[in-house]
Amino acid sequence: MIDGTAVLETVNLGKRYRRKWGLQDCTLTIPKGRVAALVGPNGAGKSTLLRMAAGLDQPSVGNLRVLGESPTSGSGDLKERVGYLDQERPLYKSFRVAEMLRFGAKNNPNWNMAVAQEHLAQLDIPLRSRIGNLSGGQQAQVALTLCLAKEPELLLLDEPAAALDPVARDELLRILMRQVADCDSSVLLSTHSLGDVVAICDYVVVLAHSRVVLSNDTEYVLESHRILSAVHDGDLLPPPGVSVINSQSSTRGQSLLVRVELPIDETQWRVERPTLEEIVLAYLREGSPGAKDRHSHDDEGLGE
Amino acid sequence: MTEKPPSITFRLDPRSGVAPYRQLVDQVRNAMVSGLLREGDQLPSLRDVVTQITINPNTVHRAYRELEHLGIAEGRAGLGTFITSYSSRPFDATERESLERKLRDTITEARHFGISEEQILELITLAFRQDGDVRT
Amino acid sequence: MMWVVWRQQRSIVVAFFAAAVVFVIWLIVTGQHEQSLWNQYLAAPCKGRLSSITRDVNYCAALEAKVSVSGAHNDDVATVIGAIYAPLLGLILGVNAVAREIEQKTNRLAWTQSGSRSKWLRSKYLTGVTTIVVICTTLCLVLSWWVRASHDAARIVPKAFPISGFVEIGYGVFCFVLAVAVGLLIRRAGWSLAVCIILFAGVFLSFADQVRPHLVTPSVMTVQGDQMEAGSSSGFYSSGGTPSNSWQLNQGFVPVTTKGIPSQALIGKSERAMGVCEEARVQGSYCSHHLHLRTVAIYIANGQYWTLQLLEGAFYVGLAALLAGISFLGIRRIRA
Repeated sequence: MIDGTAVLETVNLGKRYRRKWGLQDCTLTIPKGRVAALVGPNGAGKSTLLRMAAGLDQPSVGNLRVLGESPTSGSGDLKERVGYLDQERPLYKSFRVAEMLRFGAKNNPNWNMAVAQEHLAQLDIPLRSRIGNLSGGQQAQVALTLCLAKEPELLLLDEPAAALDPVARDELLRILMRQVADCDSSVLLSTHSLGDVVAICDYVVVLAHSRVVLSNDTEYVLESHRILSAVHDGDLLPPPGVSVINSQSSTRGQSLLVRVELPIDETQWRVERPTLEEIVLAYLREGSPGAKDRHSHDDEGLGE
Repeated sequence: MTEKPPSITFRLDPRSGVAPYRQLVDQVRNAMVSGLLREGDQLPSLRDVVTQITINPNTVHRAYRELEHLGIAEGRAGLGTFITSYSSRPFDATERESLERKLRDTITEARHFGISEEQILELITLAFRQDGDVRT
Repeated sequence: MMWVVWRQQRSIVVAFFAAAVVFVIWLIVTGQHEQSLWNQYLAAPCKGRLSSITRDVNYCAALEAKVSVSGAHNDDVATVIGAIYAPLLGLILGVNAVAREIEQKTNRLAWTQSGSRSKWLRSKYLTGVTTIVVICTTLCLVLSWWVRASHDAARIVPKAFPISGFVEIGYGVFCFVLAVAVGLLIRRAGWSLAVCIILFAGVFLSFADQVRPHLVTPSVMTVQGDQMEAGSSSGFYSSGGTPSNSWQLNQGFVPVTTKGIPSQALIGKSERAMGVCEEARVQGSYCSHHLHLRTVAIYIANGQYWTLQLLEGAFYVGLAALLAGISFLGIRRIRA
């Protein structure tokens, strides 16, 4: 599905708020057609990156291209091609659902009213209801519907499923995935749930302390990381051809989460597959700039 | 589409270290071994899978391509993806007997070394994984 | 976007419109009552209560008391509501248009649709200003009639000036633009409203007190001795001897030789001299004669009313235009 073009490209992108950096030194490329997850702890810069990509915030330093254009330098039609869902899921609370859709239709030349009405009908959200009277889950669905009915090339979603009950969450993500299947939209979404990442994302970007520490295909990430453990008293040198992301020692042994570059000598080490959650957590724990994935973009095809 | 139930219902284990597309491939293979899927069966369309479970359509696409690559399924333009005859070939009785014999020998040997049943199973799983790594 | 802005402001506009209807009804009822009292008074004829024409002093005094008591009470109500209405409408619409939207983060929704932020702001201005002009023009017409009807009053004095003529539209528009600008900066509806109320009150009071009296050249009227009240005529607003319906700025004693408009310092100095003399002598007229002083009144004549209205209206509209320009420049850089 890679056709070479990037939907989002940043080079040394940074955003400085009054005292501290919201995002720093961020260089990443998200290929077209992906459902990319942005994971990291609160305050790591996920929302900052998404807001800049949506053209709501000006970058302080560096370069940012969304669908090949700069989001803040004016061109109105980029906004037609990008759907943005804010973390707060803002909606006009006093409007009725139908009026909210009318708002979308008036503001977007490519608006697909049929899609919007179909989504809401499936979710049993009446068009006559006032937004303020809907449940949190329903409001999230309406907010997402406003993004989807634009039929954008790129969806930027800031924690689309946060604070929803499991059923609402599943419904929302499923509608999102159907849109990806129907319209070939690319998606960049931030999330706290690593379970969602495995289910719906094929690309993962890990942010820690305002920096990118990992950015690659989930499949490649899973295939290129292993947990090595060995029974040994004292320190054992890791085998050649691996970079250690995280290491844990016990009295008689050692367990390493490593990124594998060469086949591992399996006589000395017991090799296991880590889950994506384990890999991401290992990166977050070691989220110092030194642990940054330097090879994240060179080896796009390895997972194939 | 709604009148007929899908030929196979996929599920995804997010806690597994196995890549999601591989999970789908494995499920198709298992379904074939157990007889749930047979030659000529149509796999659910991409959109049907996405409607059925919360999964990235790219993953389904990737899994179907992998199945085609392995010769288990084939895509027919405009129709969908179908299970081919090649891989659904049932076990040949003599082949099966020879395999069973080899496995029994291995187990006997392992028991001789004092390896427990769990450890043997783990070794077999590991061997499968490496086989998988080599093939892709 | 106009439709969206209107939809957001609809309930506020309806509430203010309803309040305006109630107020207008009250104005019409009290205005007619005041007018009939005043006509009765004029027909007596009691006008010029110190002149010899007065037919029945007691009758006229009673009638005058009735007119002035009723008038004073209604004046207060009309002045307070009339003066507050337009600024409040402007402030609430302005705060709702921007600060509230930023507070509820819905600007992020609006700014990520097609259409620029400037367009968004422009539709806010168009809707807000149109609403204010339409409602306030209607109210201004009724208020102007009321000020004249109630007792042929001086519309130029500080109490009546803001609620008559068209300056009120200027206040409303200025307040709206001010609330928009402050909202972009403060981003919180409650705080923006509080800051805007303080800012507008400051601008309004200092303009009325420090600027308006100096916008046109005042007239001076002098009388020998202290027989100021001899030339007094109609109207309860105008006191002393200044012409009917004028706005008296100052009154006091100045040396007979003074030419042009006397300064405040000169009036004060003469006043003190008179005080010293009167303490010793009791007889006021003797003192002014002895010190070569005469009575002077400085006032702005009724004829300057529309000039003042025009200048003050232009000031507020100009200030609003300036603020709107700054807001248009600023909105590109505002954090969403």
